[in-house]
Amino acid sequence: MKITQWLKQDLIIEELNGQTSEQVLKEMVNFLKDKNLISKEKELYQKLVEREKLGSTGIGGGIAIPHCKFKWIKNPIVLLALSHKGVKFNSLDGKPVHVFFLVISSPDNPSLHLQILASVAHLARKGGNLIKTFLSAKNSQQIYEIIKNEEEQIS
Amino acid sequence: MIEKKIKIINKLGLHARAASKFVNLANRFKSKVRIIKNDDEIDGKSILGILTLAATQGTEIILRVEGEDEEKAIQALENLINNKFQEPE
Repeated sequence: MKITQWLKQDLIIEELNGQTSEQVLKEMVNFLKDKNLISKEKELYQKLVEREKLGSTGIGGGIAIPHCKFKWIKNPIVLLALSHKGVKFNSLDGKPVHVFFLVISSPDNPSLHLQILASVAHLARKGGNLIKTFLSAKNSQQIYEIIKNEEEQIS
Repeated sequence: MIEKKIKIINKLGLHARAASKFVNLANRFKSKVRIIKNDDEIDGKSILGILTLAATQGTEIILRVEGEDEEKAIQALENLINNKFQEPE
């Protein structure tokens, strides 16, 4: 499965304003709300915060995959958000997070959820290079092109 | 080196939190831990690696553990999987 099936060019935040995990989670949720992709945004925010309390989704290397299952959506949503300055996210390696892949999926389909996480993981495994390329990209269009090209090489 | 075929039995499969528990446990041992699923083989001490497997409920994986504490390690990791990662379902 390709991440670009879910992650579209207009689902990229070029620069997050927030500095803390709560701030950036709220920012991402509000972004989806403004695009009318979700309702019940308070519940969604709460679920994401609760998930982080169970253990940070900052998996190290500057990447975080905040995610939750949310019953108020049908199709999964994948959002990419960047922070050049970095966000403190209680990452496993203690380093600030620069690249966030937010994944929201329906509780009805745990297998699809895993496949989406896998496609994010395949992309993220490219490691530091990918983060550097993301952060040096000019705009969301360029970032989207990078992802598409990377995925063609993976598969 | 010890190899063991193990079935993922928890409802959510090897999702992110399960993967992170697996890696935390694997890191307590000196042995190398590899997970093999079909043609994919990954480092069992890497969350991203585990996530790439998309191992859903019912998936059979092979654990390959190699090192001085391999017996303890494989036992502990197998228990974690068979105890459904201590998550309520």
